[in-house]
Amino acid sequence: MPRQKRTRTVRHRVILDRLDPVHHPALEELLLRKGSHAKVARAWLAALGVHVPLGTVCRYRDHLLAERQRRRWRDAEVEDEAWTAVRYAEIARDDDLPDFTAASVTLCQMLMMETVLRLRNVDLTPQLLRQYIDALMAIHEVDARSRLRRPDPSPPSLN
Amino acid sequence: MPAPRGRAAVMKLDRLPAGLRDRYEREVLSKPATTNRAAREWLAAEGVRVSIAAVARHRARFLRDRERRTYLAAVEARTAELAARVGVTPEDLVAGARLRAQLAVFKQIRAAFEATHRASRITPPQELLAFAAALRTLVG
Repeated sequence: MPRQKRTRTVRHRVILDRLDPVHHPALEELLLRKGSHAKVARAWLAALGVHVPLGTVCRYRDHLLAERQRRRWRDAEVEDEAWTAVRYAEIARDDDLPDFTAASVTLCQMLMMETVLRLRNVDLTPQLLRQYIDALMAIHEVDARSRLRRPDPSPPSLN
Repeated sequence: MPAPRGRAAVMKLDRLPAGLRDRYEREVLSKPATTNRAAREWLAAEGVRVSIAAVARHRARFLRDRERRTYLAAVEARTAELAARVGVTPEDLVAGARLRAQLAVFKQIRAAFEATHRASRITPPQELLAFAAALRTLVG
């Protein structure tokens, strides 16, 4: 999603407050039309009894353009995300997929070992040591759980 | 020690009775022309006394959450549409989401491992615990 903008206290537009909601789509179309002039829109509004300064019309047009751009970005992101979900679903159908969880558990154990080796050069406080032991135990527990649910790939021979 | 005022006020707005919260969101927060001051006065008339800052924070979060929900609903709808078009079942989508989560965790751990192995970075215990927690979710 695009970066979150600062939330403003007042988000309303005076034009929309004064103009009959029936005419809102027409105004939007008029302002977003290529080559349209704010002066034309202002005159159109005045004909409908809505008298606002030109700056107000320009700011509203800027707001509409920004909203349209934001909608386009969001739609593109929605499309991208939806296709990604569908592609992953198609890949997941494959029975020969490697077990990424088992690989992650092994990698995590290797990471733990690498970290323990590097801890020799570190002044360990009892608290830090306790945290590393907790992490070690947590990884060990995950490994045990993972082994329990994983089928044994090579059953023992009867001969 | 008493809780900071702002924090307590946000919690107060989070704990509004369901009916009142629905009315507040529908009649006050959903109207762009409502000022924070007007929202605070509306709440005061209902017997809920909170600060302007609490109203503003709660409102910003409400709008952010609403936008997020709209986005997720759009993604869900579009995904269902595309899945139906290419013949992917909801079960396949669940399996796909699981695979995606597995790969994401794998990539994170691999990045941490490479940083430790090649750049001699010492992985903090909190990071290791977070990996263990993520793996535990995947293992079940």
